[in-house]
Order: sequence, then C-alpha cells, then structure tokens
Amino acid sequence: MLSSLFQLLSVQNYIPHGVCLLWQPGLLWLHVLSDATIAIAYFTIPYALVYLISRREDLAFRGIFLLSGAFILACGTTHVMGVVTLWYPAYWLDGSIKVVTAVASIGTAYVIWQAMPLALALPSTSQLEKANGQLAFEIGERQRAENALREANADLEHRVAMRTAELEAEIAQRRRTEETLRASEERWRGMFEASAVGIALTDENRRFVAANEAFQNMLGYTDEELRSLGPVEVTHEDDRQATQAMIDHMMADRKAGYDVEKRYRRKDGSIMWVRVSTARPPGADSTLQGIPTIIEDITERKRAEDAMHDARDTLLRVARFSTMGELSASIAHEINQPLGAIVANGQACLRFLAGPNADIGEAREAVEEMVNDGRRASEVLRRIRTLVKNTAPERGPLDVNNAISEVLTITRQELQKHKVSVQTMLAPDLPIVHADRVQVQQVVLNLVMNGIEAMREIDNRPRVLLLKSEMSDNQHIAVSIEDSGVGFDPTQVGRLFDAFFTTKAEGMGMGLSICNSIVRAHGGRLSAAAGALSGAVFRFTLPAIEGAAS
Amino acid sequence: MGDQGAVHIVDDDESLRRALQRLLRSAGYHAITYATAASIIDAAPGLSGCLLLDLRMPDMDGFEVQAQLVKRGVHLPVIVVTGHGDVATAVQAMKAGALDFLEKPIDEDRLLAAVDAALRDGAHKLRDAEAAQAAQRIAPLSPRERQVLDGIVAGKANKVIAYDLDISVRTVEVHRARLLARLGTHSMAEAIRIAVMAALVSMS
Repeated sequence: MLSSLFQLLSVQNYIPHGVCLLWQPGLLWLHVLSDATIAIAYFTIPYALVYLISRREDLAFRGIFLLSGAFILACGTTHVMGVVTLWYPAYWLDGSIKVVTAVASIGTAYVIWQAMPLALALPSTSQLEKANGQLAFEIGERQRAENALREANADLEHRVAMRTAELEAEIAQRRRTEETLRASEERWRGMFEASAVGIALTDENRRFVAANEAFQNMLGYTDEELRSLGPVEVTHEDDRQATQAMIDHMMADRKAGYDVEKRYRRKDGSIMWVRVSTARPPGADSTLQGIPTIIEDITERKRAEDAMHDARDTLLRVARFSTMGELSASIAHEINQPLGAIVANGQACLRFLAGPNADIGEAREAVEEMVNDGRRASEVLRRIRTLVKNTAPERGPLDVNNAISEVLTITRQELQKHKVSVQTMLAPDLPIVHADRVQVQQVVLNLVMNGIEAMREIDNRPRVLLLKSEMSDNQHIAVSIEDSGVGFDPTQVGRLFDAFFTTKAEGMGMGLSICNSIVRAHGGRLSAAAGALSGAVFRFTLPAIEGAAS
Repeated sequence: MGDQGAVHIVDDDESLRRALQRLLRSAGYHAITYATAASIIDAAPGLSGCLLLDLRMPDMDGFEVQAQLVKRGVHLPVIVVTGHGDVATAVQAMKAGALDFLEKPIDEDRLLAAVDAALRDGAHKLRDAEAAQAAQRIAPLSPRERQVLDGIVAGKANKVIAYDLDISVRTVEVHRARLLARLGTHSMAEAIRIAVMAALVSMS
C-alpha cells in the first residue's frame, strides 16, 4: 500500500508539464491562475451544496447533490493537479484523481439521468407558485369552511345544549308524571286490593280476569283459581240462569248495568248472599277490558232480614191468634150452632124411629139435616184452622170476595153481638189476586174488628158495616170496609198506620200497622178516609193477576 | 094440640131453628119458628103457648124482646137460650122475667122438661119452688166452694178460677168435687142450674 502510494507520488523520470509550455511565464500564469480559480470555484460549490442540503432538509435528490458535490470536488482537485503538474510531474496521482473524478462524474451522470424523470416531475417554481396560490386559495376556502364549520359547530353545540336542557326538563316532567301516575296507580291498586268489598273484572269470555283479595276471601278461591272461573260458575245453581241472562244483556249492550242480590256458592260448598253491582262494559278504547263488578257480602244482612221476616210473620201470626182469641166466643158459637142442630136433629130422629109407629120420612129428613150441619160445622172449622195455622205465608191465586165472605162467617156472631148490620157490595167479576189468603183475611178481619170497635159507643144511628170490593184501576182490585162509628181525627190520619199508635183505651196499636205491612208486602196500599156513614172507611188495594180481569 | 100448646122458636140460625122444631115435633109438640126478633114481637099479641128465645139475635137482643113483649102486654112464658158459659146473661134474663134458661148445646131432656113446665099453668110457681129448693141446697157450701161454683157459672176454666182465687188447679178440682157432692149431683150442668136458681132467690 505504502509502495503504491509512493508510486503515486513518485515522479520518476517524468518531465514537468511546464516543460511543454516552455516555461513561458505568461502561459504558465495563465494556466496556473485559470486552474487555481477553477479549483477554488469548484471547491466552493460542494460546500454550497452541502450547506444547501444541511439547510434544506426537504430538498429532493440529496444523493445527487452530494454526488455532484463529490464530482465537482474531484474536478476541482484535477485542476489543482493541473497546477501541480506544471512543476511536479506526479502524473500517476494526477491520473488517479482523474479516475476518481471519472468515476464520480460517471456515477453522477448515471444518477442524474436516472433521476431525470423524477426531476422532470418535480414542479417548477411557477408551478409551485401556482400550486401555492391554489393551495393558499384552498387554504382560505378551507379556513372559511372551517370557520363556517366552527360556527356551525358552535351553533350545533348551542342547539344541543338547548335541546338537552329541554329534554332534561321533559324527562323531569315525564318522571314527575310517571311518579304521579305510579302514585295514582298505587292508590287505585291499594283501593282495589284493600277494598272491603269484592271487586272483579269479567272478560268477554265470561272469566274473571282480575279479582281483589276481598273477593277471593269471600269465595275461598285463590286469584289463580278464579281466573278459570266466571260469574256463572261461582253463582248458586238456582241463580245461574238469571246471572247468565244478566251477562248476556250486558254483553249485548242491552242493559247498562245491574244491581242485584243473589247467592254465591263458595269453594267449600257453602252458600252466601251477595249484592252484585255491575257497570256497563267500558268502551273499546278503554284499558279496562271487561265488565267491572262490585260484590258485597250481604249474608249477614240477609240473615237479619230473614230473621226480621220470621219475626214479622210471627208477629202477624200472634196478632192473628190474638184477634182470633177475641173472637173465640163467637167462633165457638159458630161451631156450636151446627153442632146443636145436629144433636137436636139426632134426638128428633131417634124419637121418630122409636116405638111401633116409626116415622121414617121425618127421620130421614132429620138425618139429611144432620149431614148438612155436619158439613157446615167442618167448614167453619176449616176456615178457623187456616187462620190459626202455624204455617209460613204462601201466596197463591186468591178470590178476594170468597176470602171476605169467609171472614164474615167467623165474625158474624161478633157483629151480631154488637148489633152491627153488615152490608156487602162485592163485585161479581173481580179478577183473581196473587196473595196469601190468611194474611189478606187477617187484614179484613182486623178492619172488621176495628169497625165493630168504632161503633161500640154509637147509639144514635144504625151500626152499619159496609164491605165493598171493586176494581180500583186496571191493575188493582180494592176492598173497602166502612163503618158508621166514631171515625178518626183527620189530623191523626198520618199516624194511623204507625205501630203502637192507638186511640183505644185497651188497644196495642198494632192492628192497622200490621194491616199496612201486609198490604204493602203484597204490593198494595192501605188508606183511611172519612166515610159517608159518618164513620171511617179503610180501603186497601191488591194487584190483580194479569189477564185475570174479565 | 093447636096453638094452645105451641112452642114459638125464635132463632136466627135456620138449621138450628128447624132442628129444634123437629125435635119438639118428635116429642109431640107443635112448634112455630121465627127468624127475627121483630117478627115474634109483631106476632106475639095473638099467640099462646111459650117462647123459646135465643138471647143473641141480630136485630135485637133477648132482653129487648122481653121488654117489648111486656110493653105489649104479652105474658107468654119465656125460655131463654144462651151460649155456653153465658150463665150470667141467663140469670139476667130470668131476673127480667124469663121462666127458665137453656145453655147451648141444648140438652134434649132439659128442653123438653122446660117446655113441658112452661106450657103448664102456674109455671112460675114451680120455678120459684125450684129456686127456693136450690137456695137450700147451695147454702151448705163453704165460701171457697161458692167462689169456685161462681167461677164455673161464669164459664171459667179451672185454671182461670185457680188464678183468680190464687189457689192451685188441683185445689180447684178438689173444691169442684166437694161442692158437687154437697149439692147431691154428679152433673156440673145441674150444679150450674142450682146456682142460677139460687141466685134468683137471693135477688128477689
């Protein structure tokens, strides 16, 4: 290596280049100055290039610049060697440097040519300027757009904020509404659940879709069990048909609602009385699907009512017995008459048959009379028995005229005893009424007895009792019982039918009250007025059986 | 027999009226019936015989009939007929002039005896004699026995008499038995008759 370096620097026997120039100072200077200047210039260029590269990092083709720098540096060196070789003939070194220069220049040339398409593609300054202008415009546009966007954004944000606030308010409002609704729901549900009365909802399939606890407890079924049942199933067998019809009517919209008393059959088989109130099924737009029903347990009330009815019936019976007791002497007489006749006829008969000259004809007549009187006695007994029978009241078709006549037969003696003459005006074609015979007779009996009582003190005019039956209107028959007694104080007419109101010294004040309750129970009316016979007239009506009127 | 011994029956009950008429006829009496008090009063002045008068008539009571007859100068013997247990009325009627009384249901023998007596002359004397005898028979009764008899005459049941007198029913029964024995009869009807007849004496 060192040897090759020495060889490079060796000058051997070469002739300096100045020799070729004949050492002419002028020519020498020309070469020296030119080569030196070129070299200096060439040495500054790489520096400039390196400087440029170092300053302009974005510069394209940096390699080319560096290579160019190296190639120019090499060129500069060749020019230095041109000066050197004028005096010092290191032509190997000079040639080597030229080789380096050649290599660098060839590489540079190669790289430049290779980079040419890229270099050509590089925009020119004007192009860049134009592009710049375009860019600047675009940037401006973009800025404007950005501004607009920013503004829009701000606006949007503002709007979003506003809307958010609105929504929040709305949500709060909705929450409050929901709260209210829930409170309301809870309140209603609470009422539904805690209600002492049963509440149930029946759907179009006639099944319970909702039933509150009270209703479940009433029947002994669970909520779930009730859902497979309906109003008809829980109803007592005897009331089912009516319930069915009721629901049919409601479903068909023929009836707006019902309020009925009926019986249920509990799960355990026992019977309970309920009052069922239904309202019209809600419209199609309602959330309430089905027929809402309120059910009230009235078993206790019914029991009390039954007890009251029983008590009332007992009272009526006792009152009747008591009246019959007052009549006992008259009634005994009424039976004794035919019995006396029978005995007398019998004795007569025996006498007619006794002895050899028996009078068969007279005897037969006597026996015939006995048969008639026997029938008469048993008839009287039958009438009395029905009035003192201890049976429950039973309504049936009743011929009022007949009932009146019967009462007159058992009071005949009483009337006679008090010298009361009886007049009857019974309409012959009176319609039949639906009534309890005994109770109607009790009313007539009471009114007859009252009439007798009212005439007890009357001596200055005939004691007359007028019994009349007639049609009152198309639907009612009327019975009036008028006396020629003392009458009543018109101011007391309002109290006449009150219990315990009496004008008699020994009266209990139950008679008219009982009459009134009987007549009312039959759907009639009892009234009192001053009569034409200067006494009182009591009149009661009873509904006639439809179609019975002739 | 003719009207001479006729029995005039006054009763509003037709069948009883006819039965009594038949009974009297079977016993050989002639009987005529009247349905109302008014009809007998109208007919009475021309009548003879006796009257069988039901005290309880619709148009007027027996006492009034008696009074009317007296007013018209009719002095027919009157046998009054009363309801059962209505002896007080019977006594009252006899006081007013009735000859005898019959309780319903009418006993055949009593009826025939009464009619027979009524149709005889001096019937009242006979009655007075009977009354005097009755007064004698009733005299030995103790005050308590008299009270019990009065109760029976008034048609009261043993129970009621016991209550009124504040004694037991059993005691009433004992008194009843004893008073019947003292009166010398087994029939309560007889005892009642004696009491009524005796009452006539005490009243006159």
